[in-house]
Amino acid sequence: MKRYAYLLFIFGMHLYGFGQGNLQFNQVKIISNIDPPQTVPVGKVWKIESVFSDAASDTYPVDGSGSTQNFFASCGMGAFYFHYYGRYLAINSIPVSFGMHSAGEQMTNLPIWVPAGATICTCTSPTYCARGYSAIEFNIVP
Amino acid sequence: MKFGLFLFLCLTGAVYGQDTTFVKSAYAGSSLTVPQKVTWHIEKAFINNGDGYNLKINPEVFKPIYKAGEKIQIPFYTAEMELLNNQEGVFYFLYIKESFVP
Repeated sequence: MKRYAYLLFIFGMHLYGFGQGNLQFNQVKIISNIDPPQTVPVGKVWKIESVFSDAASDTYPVDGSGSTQNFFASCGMGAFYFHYYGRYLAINSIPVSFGMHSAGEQMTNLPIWVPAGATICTCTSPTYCARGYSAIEFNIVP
Repeated sequence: MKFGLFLFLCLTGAVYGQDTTFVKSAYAGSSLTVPQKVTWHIEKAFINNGDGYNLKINPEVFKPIYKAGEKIQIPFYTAEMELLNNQEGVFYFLYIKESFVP
């Protein structure tokens, strides 16, 4: 019986090797915070490599204080308490801070993989929002 | 139980036994040698650095056909490696079509 289990395991591992996702480079994108919301197309995946600062947030770490704002209303997100110098984007209505922590680390580690159908929104406040971001677009290939 | 094993072997043989296309993996910078009496054509190639996805590379880094006994040098570097977060321990998946030479 153990022998059969071993054979099944080998066979299963063989199939697993063919079941991995395959990607192919397509293009590099630079999105500004004045661009409209971006939806990752069907059959693609985006890898956000870098998030840009505004001049103000280059020099200040993310502040513990902030204010309740409605930055991503166009993406269907309600009011939220945003921290100063947070360099925010919203991915699928989830606000994500890319600011620098006072300890020197980035609040959210890059890269971020964004699947097909997901929407990335930007906002324009120089005190709170990211200036833009760069992403690599991959095709999902067989 | 023996019949089950027999059926299993028959099915796997039916799926893979007549297929002359197979996948080989090799580390960047290593080499493969084509066996005697066959030629290899690399249909497509991917790189992987241990992350959960393979990245398709330009197949023109390989010759169209490799003859029996010929050595395939796996490139130590390809431009697509720049798209990986970590360029150490990169290995290739080569989809090879094998043809028998009479």
